[in-house]
Amino acid sequence: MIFKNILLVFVIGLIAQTTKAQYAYFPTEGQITFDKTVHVKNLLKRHIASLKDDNFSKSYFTQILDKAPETVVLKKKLSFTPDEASFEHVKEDYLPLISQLMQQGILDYQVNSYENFKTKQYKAAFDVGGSPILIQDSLLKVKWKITNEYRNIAGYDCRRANGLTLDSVYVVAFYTDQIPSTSGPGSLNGLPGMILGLVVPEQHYNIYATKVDFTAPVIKSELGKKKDKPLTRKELYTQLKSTLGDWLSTAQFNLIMAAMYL
Amino acid sequence: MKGIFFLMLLFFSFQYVSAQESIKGKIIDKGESKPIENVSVVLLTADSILSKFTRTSETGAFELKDVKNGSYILILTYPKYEVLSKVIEVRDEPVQVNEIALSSQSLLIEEVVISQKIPIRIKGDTIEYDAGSFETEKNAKLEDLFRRLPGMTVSSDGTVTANGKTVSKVLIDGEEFFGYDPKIAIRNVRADAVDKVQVYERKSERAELTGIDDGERIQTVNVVLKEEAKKGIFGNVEGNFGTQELFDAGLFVAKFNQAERFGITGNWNNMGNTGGGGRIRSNNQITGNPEYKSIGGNYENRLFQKRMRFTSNYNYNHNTNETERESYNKELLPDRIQESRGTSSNQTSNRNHSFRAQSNFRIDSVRNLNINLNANFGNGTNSNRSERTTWKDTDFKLNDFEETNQSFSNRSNAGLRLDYRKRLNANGRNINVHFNTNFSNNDSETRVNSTTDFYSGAVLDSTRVINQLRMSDNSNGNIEAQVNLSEQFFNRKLNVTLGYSIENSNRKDRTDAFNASSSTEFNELDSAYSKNESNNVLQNGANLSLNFNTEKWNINVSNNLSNRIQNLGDTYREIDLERSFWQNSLNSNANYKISNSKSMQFSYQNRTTVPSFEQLQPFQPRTNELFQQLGNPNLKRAINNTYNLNYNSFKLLKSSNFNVNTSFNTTHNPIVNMTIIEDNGKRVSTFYNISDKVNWNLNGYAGYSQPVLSNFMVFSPSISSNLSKSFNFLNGELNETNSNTNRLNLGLEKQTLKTVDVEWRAFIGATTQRTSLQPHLNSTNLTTGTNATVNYYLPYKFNVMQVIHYNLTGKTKVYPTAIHQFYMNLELNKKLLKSQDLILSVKAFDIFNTFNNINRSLGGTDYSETQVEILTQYFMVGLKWDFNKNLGKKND
Repeated sequence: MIFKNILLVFVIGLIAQTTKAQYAYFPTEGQITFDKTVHVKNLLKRHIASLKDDNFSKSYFTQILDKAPETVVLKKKLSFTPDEASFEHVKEDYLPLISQLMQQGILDYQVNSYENFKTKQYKAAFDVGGSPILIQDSLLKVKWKITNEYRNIAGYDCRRANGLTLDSVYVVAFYTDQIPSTSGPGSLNGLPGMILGLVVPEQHYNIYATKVDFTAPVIKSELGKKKDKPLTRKELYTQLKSTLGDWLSTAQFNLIMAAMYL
Repeated sequence: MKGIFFLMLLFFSFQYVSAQESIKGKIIDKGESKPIENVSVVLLTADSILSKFTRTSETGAFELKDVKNGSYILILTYPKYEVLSKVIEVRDEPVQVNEIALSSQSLLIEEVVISQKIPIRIKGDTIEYDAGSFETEKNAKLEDLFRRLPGMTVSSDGTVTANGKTVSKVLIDGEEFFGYDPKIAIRNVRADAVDKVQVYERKSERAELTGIDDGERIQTVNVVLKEEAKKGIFGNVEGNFGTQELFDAGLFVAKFNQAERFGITGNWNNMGNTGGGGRIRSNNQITGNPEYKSIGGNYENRLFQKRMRFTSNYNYNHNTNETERESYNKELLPDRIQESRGTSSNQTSNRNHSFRAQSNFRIDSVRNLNINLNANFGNGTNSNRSERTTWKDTDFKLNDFEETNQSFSNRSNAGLRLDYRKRLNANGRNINVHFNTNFSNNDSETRVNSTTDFYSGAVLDSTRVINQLRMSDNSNGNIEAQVNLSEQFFNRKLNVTLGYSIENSNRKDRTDAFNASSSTEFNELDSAYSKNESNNVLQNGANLSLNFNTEKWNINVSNNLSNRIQNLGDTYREIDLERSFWQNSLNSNANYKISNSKSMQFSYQNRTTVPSFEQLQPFQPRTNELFQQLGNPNLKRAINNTYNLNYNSFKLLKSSNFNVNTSFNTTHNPIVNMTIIEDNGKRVSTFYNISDKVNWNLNGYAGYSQPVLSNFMVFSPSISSNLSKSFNFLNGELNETNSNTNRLNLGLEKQTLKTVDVEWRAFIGATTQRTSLQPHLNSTNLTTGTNATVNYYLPYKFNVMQVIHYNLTGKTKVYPTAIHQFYMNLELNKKLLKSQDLILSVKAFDIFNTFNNINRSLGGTDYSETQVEILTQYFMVGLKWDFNKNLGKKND
């Protein structure tokens, strides 16, 4: 008898769900795999252009430029729930030259980050020249301008938004209304839907989602080691400027910092 | 104290209370009237900056909190539903939005565009426009689309200008379509069939085939059709009938089937144009009594398993007219004032057939053969009656001239061009053989009867009567062959071409003028009016061409050095001249792509101008008693240098376009005409080199266009400036002319196809001319004008179009009165049928009858005025039917 009632409730529940399902399905948690394509040659050219003529790094970069491949594709993964999200770099085998550039901090910092949308908190962990860095700060502030252009990414219709962040870095993001999350790859956030496509012209990379699935995600909220001292973005900028500022020109320094923060 | 504190608290709380409001609302489905959950509700500031966002709840309700005072745009989106946007004003109180109903896409008539489109981009040296980003009316044609593209304009007579340069070729998918008249493609191919429009400068056909640049540039527009537009039948039929028995009837039908394109067009009108006479945007003044009939066909296809691209077109036309003209001319010379006044009436009739075929045959992967064939033949008759009187210093009559002239002529022309290219190795070495031949023949029979009275001191001095039959036979043959070898270096970045060319041209020009020996017989050969000329040129040349290509740069340097042996003869005058020249022509240009939206071009050309036969031969036949041409066998060649610098840029997000074109030209040792007017008014013309002077000319143009008033209108100002110094002879004395013209153009247009659309252009300019011999005539002349086309979109598919034209030419010392020109045309039309494919129109031309039909032209030292029999005011009724089967319609 009880079973029959439970079954009845279950069936009614199912029917109720299906009558609502004539409308679209809005997932609130899942995992998204992204492909980050870096235009290595162009990025190197930009670094070369930011250096002075007598800087010895310039000749080093120019030599590398010939051997470097046109592009390299890195894999990233985003796990999200309504309140939290974690973003991680997926390690793969790379060409020796690419590994070398990544270690030097030219290509990609393999940042692993965590965001909490309720507390508006942002955490990120990565290495710079062998030293571990832990950032703890508020969510990245981006000024978004919504446009009328659309693009289809991973099967979702995405609308284009142009963003300005870190005072002068211009980004282009494609977000979808069908995933009601303000998250996205890296630290970009703040749009009315999940960001499935991101282009950062000055860093010569673009990130596009390749697979979206709605299995229960695992959010990694503990990053870095206990002994790492957390820094805000401003504190990190000042600290690194005093150590690296002598070697690098302001233009190159800002390029490197932006790559860490995005 | 407490009071102030309380006031401050009140003030702050008031601020706090009034600064932030909430926006609430509810969203339901239009079809089912049920609430929709998870609708994305986005609040944007007036410049589209994201301010706040939220989602609707289960009940369809949403609330945006803490919104500051201001104007916002609310955007509502939901998958597979329409996107709705609403303007919201927040002013010190919460906003409750009325219930909003969203329609699912299946209810909407139009498709929502979901693809990435960039309206304008630069690819290399080509500017590419995405046609879908520019809205046009139903049944709009290419010219309506071109009018919308920033940087392109279409004038009232159908001439297309892109980035300040006139477009002379319009291609459809890379091939000519009715190539003999670009207006046919522009006025008949549908705008909704177009995917992209590309604008670029093409080299001449010969330069493209041989790779040796000859400096010629043809501004070209290529229209890329949508995939679904490559198959279908489309066309239109139009008939216009009006007062004064005017009519214009035209037909155009085309069938596209991928690579196979077939079209026919025909037109019959008595309005003095080649079709499109009922269009109120054109200059519609009808001179004389014209009649025009034409029929044309175009066929193109890919043959031989798609290895050959074949294009051909044929055109026949028959053109007649009868005109009457009155003219007055005044010349201010250093030692006298010369005036002449006369009338003339003319009847002409011409028939012409022309045929052109082009085939591009890819024999195999290394060999390519191009064959171009063209042929032209026709005949015509012309009869003319004129009379003219010339005075010196107002009171002294110099001569009276009266002539009747009737001629029949036949002309024919045929040409063949062959180009063969073979790739010799994998590194880009190739050989090119080019062969070109052309033959033409012109013969005519003219009856001339003229009387010239010469006066001296107001008394008749002598009379010369000519009663002649002139038989002319002119033939021209030309054969040219070229061999070029190219090699590529530096990973295909550098292309070097070395070549040799040989050309032989032969021209025979014979006129036998027979004086009347009786009233019906013409037997006496009049040697003063006859000639038997021959001109034979043998030219040997060597070409060197370098082409350097990288991602950002494209640099081209071509040089041609040739030796020219010229034989000129006239057996009637015992003339036998032989001369040889060395000629060098250098062309260089560089194109630098600054970014995806900016580019720069620089070019330099050096060439020699070799004197022509008329300029060299000392004694030449006459055509009437008042003019004699003498040649100067000692003429040397002139050297021309031309420098060009252009810059092009546009900002994608702003949709703005900026363009600068400058050119500087010098001529050393210029060949200048010297005309001496004898006491009795007869003119003797000859040529001299001015060896120690340089003629130069500097031109600058800058144009800008951008949308204003939130994309509501497009504003396009431009300026042009010209500075020049040139030398000529005024009645035998050397004269230096310095002239400076500056002009400012403004354009404003609104083309949104709603309520009222306006296209307005205005200009103001000043021309200053100073001459050394007659400084008292130096003056600055002002010109200004405005042109507007207004389109009123009325209900029930009615449309009114109004065209207004005004022009003012200011006074000069030669003609001290300003000249005005004003007219207005009006059209009322209604779209009939559910498909709106049938348009009925009523048109009025020069509705106030204000057209000034006196044509005046002012030079620095002379002035002439012509009045022609012209019809400017008339009314017409027209009917136009557009049909389109399958073209541009997607298969769902």
